[in-house]
Amino acid sequence: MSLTRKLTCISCPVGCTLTLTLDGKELTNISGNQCPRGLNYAKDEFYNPKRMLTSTIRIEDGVIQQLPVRTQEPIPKEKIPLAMKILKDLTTRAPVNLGEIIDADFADTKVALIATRSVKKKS
Amino acid sequence: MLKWQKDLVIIGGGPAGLAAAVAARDAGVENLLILERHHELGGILNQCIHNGFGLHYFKEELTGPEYAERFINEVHQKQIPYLTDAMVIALSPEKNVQVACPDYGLIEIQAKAIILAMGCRERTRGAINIPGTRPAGVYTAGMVQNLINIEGYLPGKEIVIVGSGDIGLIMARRLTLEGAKVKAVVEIMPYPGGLTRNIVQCLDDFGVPLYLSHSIVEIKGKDRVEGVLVAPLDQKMQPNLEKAFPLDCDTLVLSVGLIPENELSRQAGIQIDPVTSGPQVNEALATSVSGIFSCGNVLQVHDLVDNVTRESQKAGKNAAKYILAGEEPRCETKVVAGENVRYVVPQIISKSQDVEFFLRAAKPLGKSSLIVGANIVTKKLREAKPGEMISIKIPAEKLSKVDDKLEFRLVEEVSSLELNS
Amino acid sequence: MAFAKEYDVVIIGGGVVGTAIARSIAKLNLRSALLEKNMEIAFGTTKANSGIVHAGFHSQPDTLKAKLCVEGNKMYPTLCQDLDVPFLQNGLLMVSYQKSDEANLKEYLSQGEKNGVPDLKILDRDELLALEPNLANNVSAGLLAPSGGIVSPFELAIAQSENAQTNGVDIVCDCSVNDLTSTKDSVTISTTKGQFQTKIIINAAGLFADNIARLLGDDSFRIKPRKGEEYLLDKRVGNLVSRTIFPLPTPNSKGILVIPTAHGNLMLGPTANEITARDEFSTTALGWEKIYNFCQKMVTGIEKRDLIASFAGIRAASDRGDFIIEFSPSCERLINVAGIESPGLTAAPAIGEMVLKMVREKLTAEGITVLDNPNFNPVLPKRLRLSQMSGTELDAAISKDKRFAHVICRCELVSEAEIVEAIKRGARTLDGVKLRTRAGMGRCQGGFCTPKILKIMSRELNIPVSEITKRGNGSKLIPYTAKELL
Repeated sequence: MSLTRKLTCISCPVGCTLTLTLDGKELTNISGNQCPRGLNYAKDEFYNPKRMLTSTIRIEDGVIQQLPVRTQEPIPKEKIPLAMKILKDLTTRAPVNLGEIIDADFADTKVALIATRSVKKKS
Repeated sequence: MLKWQKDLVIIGGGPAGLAAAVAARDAGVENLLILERHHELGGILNQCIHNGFGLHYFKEELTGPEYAERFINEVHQKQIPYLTDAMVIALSPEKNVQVACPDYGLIEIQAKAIILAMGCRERTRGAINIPGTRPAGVYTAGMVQNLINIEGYLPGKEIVIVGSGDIGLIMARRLTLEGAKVKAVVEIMPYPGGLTRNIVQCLDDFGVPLYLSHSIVEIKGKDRVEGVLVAPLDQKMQPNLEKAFPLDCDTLVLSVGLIPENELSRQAGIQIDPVTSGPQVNEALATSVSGIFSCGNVLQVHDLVDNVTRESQKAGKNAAKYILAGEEPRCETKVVAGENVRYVVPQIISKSQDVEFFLRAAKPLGKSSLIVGANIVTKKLREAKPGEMISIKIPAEKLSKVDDKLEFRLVEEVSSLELNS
Repeated sequence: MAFAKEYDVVIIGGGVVGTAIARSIAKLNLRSALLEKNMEIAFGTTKANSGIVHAGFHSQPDTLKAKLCVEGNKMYPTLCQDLDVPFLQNGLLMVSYQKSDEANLKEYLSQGEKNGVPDLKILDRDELLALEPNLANNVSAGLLAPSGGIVSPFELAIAQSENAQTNGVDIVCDCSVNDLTSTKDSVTISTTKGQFQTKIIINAAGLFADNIARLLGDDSFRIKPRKGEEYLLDKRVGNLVSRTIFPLPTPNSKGILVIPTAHGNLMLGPTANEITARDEFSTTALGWEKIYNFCQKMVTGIEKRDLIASFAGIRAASDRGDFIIEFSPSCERLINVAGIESPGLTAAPAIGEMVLKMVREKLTAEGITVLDNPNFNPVLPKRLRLSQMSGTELDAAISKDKRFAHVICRCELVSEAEIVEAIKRGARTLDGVKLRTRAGMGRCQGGFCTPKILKIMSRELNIPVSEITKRGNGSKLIPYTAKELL
C-alpha cells in the first residue's frame, strides 16, 4: 500500500514542495522538484536527514574573538546536539584562512569543519 | 582637520559599498575611498554566519562571511583605499563629506561623486510601541545576532521572537543551537514573512511553535523580562485581549522590519521615496542630487545579497561614467506602482536604456501576471509574495514606446486562498 | 562592628530635588552626604520628568508651588550655564481652541502676574499662528509665557550631584534606608551600606518620602502616586513647534502637552492616572491613543510613524496639595521635602536654597557655628561633546584624545571619549551611560551602539559583560556567554 508525504526541500531558497510516495519503509517515488538536488534531499530527509551546521568557535590572538565555522557538507541531523557540545570546547588560534580545516572529521561524521572567514593575528 | 579631494567616496563597506567600489574601479576610477564605520569591511555579512548567500551570483551557497571575503579580497587586490572606524558625520548637497576617524581625526572630503551604501537599521520596540514595562531583555534580532556571532554572548535563556521574517527565523535556530530555549515565534500576519525553507530548518527542526495572526500586547517584568502576553488578532488586525495568553520568557527578540538608514541622505537634501524610505533614483541609480548615487539596503531593503551586488555594480559603473564623462541621463518618465504593487525601483527613467526593475507585491498573490505599462511586457508568476523581491529586465526598445508614465501592476489569476486550500 | 559615619546633614534621595539641596548645602562648611537607593543618581522619578521649566502661572498664589516656581525659574539660566546642562528658555504657550476658554486664559494671566511671572501676554489667533505656524487651525487665543523653558532633567540632577560632590558632599548610591532612630542630638540612619549618624536628616525621598517619615513616627502626609506616560518622537519633527504647547489644565494635571525637548526631539504627554503601586512603570496602548489623539488636535504634522520611544514616570504627589517643605512635627531633626510634584523641577534650585536657610537656622539655634564653604565653586567644567563642538574645537579635542573621533552612537553622535568620561564620572550601568551621554537615545534606540558600549564598560569597569546591568539590581543585560547553557 502506498502513502504520500509532503516535504519542503531546503536545498535552495525556492523551497519546492516535494511529494514522496512511500511503500512501507521504502521511498518509491519523488516528485515536485525543480532540480536534481530535490531528489537527493528527499532521499536523505526520508532515510537519514542531514543539515548544514553553521556556528562560531572561540579564536585566540585574532582581530576578532569568534570565528564563524561550518560543516563542509550537511551532517546527520541527530548528531547536531553533540556537535554543538564539541564546538563549545573548541578553540583555535589566529591567523586562520578562509576554508581552513579546523577539524577534518568533525563529530565523527567524516565531514570537515571549516573556517568561513580569514582572521588576522591581533597586532 | 584634514582636507582631501576624492573623485568617488563610497559611504559603507558592506556588500553594497564593496561591489560598487570594485565596479567603479574596474570602470576606471582610481581616486576613490570606501568609508566604513566598523573596524573591518564586510558590513552586516560579517554577522550573518548562516548559509544561503551567493546562490545566484556565485552559483554556490555560501555563508555571509564567505560571500563578503570574496569582495574584500578584490578590494585588496585592486588596492582600493578604505578607512575603518570611520563615521560620516555630515554630508552636504555639494558633496562635501565630514568623517570622524580615530586614526586621522576629522577629515573633510570634497568628492566629485558619492555612492550611498549605508544599509539599514532595525525597527525598535519603541517604534512599534509594545505596551508594558521597560525591563532589560528586549532586543532587536540583528543586535542579538551581533552579540552571539561577533561578541560570543547569549542575551537570555528563554526567548520569544516577534516577527517571522527570515532574520527572526534564522535567530530562532541560532539561539536554540547556542543553548537557549525559543518558546515561540509570534507573527502578526496570517502568513509567515520568511522563506518556507527557513520555517522548516529553523522552526520545524527544533519544534518551535509559530503563532500566525498574533501579537505581543504586553511586556512584563520589572528589572528583566519575565514574560509576555500574546493575543490573537481579528480580521481587522486588532488584538482580542480576552483570548490573550501569557508566555514566560526572559528575552524578547524583535524582528519587525528594517528601515533604510537615510539620515545622511536627508542632510544632503536628497528626495526620499516615502514607500521605500530610500532615495528616489533613476535608472543609473542616481538620486535627486547630481553626482550622488545609491545602492543596496539604503536604497531599498533587499532579500538577496546577490541582488545587492548587481545593483551596486550598476551604481559603481554609473558613478564612473558621471566622473569620467560627466554623464547624467535625462530621466523624466515616472515609474508608478499600480495595482497590488507596493513599490518599484528605479522611480524615474529615460526610456533610452535597458533597465532592470526591482519591485514588491503589496500582498500575497497566487498565480499572477506582472503587467508593465500598456502591456509592453507581461511576465507570468507562479506566485507573488511581499517578502520576495521581483525583478524584471526591460529593454530600451520596449521602454521607448511608453508615453508619460510607466505603471507596474500585478493581476492575480487565482487567489492565493484558493491555491492553498 | 563598624562605627556609624558622622555627618551634620544627610539627604535621603538623589533626584533633582535631593541633588539641588545637596548642592546648596555644599555652600556651607558642613559634613554632608546624600544617600540614593537606586544604583545611580536620577534613576527615580527625575528620569521620566518632561523637563519643562514652568513660568509659574499655573499655581495658586501664596503657595510654595507658586513662590518657589517663580524663584526657581529665575535661577535656571545661570544654573544651567554653570553646570553645563542643556537648557532653552524658549517660552511656553497655553492655547485655547474655543472662544469660551479665552476667559480662563485671562485668569491664568492675572494669577501669573500675582505670582510675579514676568512678561505674560495674551495673543490672538493671528499672533499665535505667526509664532507657531503648525498650531491647529482652530486655535483661538493663547497665553504666552516667555520665561518658561525646557531642560534635560536627569542631566541637571547628575550635574547637581557632581557639583555637590566636587564641593565636598559624599554621594552614596545603591544605598537603601532600612531604619531611622533619633536621639536628642542626632538621627541614626541604618542602610544597606552601613550606619550614618547626622544632626539633620533631609527627606527628599520622592515616592517613598512618607515611608521615610514614618520611620521617625511622622504620619503627617501620604504620597499619592500619579503615573504619566510620555511618547518621544523623531528629531525630524522636533521643530514642529518652538515652544511647549499647553492646553487648558484639568483638575489633576497641567494637561497633555506638545514638548520640543532640550535635545531636539518632540515629546507628547503626559497622562495622569492615580495608582497605588510605586514601582509600576508600564506604558499602555490606551495611553498612546489618548495622547496621540489629543496632541494631533493641538498641532498639525504629528504622525504615528515618527514615534521612537516611550516611557512612564510616577509623580510623587502628596495628599496635601502644596509642596511639603518643613520640619517634621514628630522629629525636630527631620526636614521633610515631599510631595514635590509639578512644578517641582522648576522649583528645585529654589528649594535647595530654602532648605539651606532652614539648615543654617536650625544649626545656629543649637549653638553650632555655621560657616560658609570658602572653596565653593558653582561651576562644573564644560563637558566636551562631539555633537556640540565646532570643527576647530573637535580638532583640539581629538589631538588630546583621539577617542573623540571614534563615534559609538551614530544617531546622537556620541564618541568613545564621552562614554569613557561618563564611566569615570560615575556611570556604572547602561542607563547611567545613556543618561549622561545620550548614547542609545536616538532613533535606533541602541541597536547599533549597545554592543560597543558594553565592551567599553567592561574594559573601563574591569567587569565581564555578563555582569553589566541596565540599571542595577536584577537588570543584567547579557547574562550568558555563547554555548554556556549547552
